[in-house]
Amino acid sequence: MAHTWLDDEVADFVVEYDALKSGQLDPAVTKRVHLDMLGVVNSMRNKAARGQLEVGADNTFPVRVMSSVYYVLEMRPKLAGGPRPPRLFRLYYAEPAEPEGALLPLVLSTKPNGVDAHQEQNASIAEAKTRSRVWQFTKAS
Amino acid sequence: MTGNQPFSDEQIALAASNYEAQVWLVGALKRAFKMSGLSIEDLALELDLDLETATGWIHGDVDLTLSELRHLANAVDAKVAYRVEPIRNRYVGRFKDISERTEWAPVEVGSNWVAIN
Repeated sequence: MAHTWLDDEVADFVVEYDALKSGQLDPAVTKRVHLDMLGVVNSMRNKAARGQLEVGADNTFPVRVMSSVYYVLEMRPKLAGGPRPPRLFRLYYAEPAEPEGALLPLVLSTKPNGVDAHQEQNASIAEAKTRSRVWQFTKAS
Repeated sequence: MTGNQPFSDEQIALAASNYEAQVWLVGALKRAFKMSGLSIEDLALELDLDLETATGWIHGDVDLTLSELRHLANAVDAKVAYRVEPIRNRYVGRFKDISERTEWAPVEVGSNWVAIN
């Protein structure tokens, strides 16, 4: 089944995606890596839209279901090893029941590669949950 | 890209395409490994690697150097062919810039500008 990304519905996501496109999402990451990651994220988003991205419960899958918020999915753009990048890009999204086949991007962020001392990943997941609730509320009203 | 100017759609599409080419290459080498009938132990022995590294090479978890890629392809009996196509995103961008800034004089009939058939 084909899916459609609702790219314009979460304003904060739009800001983050624009920042990625301008090479400014994370000042600790070079513009070259921003472009590379943009390519990877877009490729994975297209795959997700075609229903070709595997979703699972652990790190071996390109998309992981969050155990803390069961409906939030984490897209994990992965590039082969090499020099370990200091920051990893993550896209958090959800599949709302309505409209059918929709994919709702919630948060585009980075996290440390390795020990997440400041719990940045958890903060991103919490933010994704908040944005999904706001979206749901806005749709219902 | 210069300054804070956003990446163009063409640049993003090119980055996505190059990523997909890498994914395809890793997948193709993995398939060649399976078809070769080698075990991961055989491969590790042939490439003088420990088991974990050999597994990483096959699963695409390691950024191989071009020479390592060649060695892996030799070991799994695969021929790797490279093809580079200049896309000219930057060139087209520069050309558009110039053409937009250039004022062209209208061509008069009988001038030195001749259509070549």
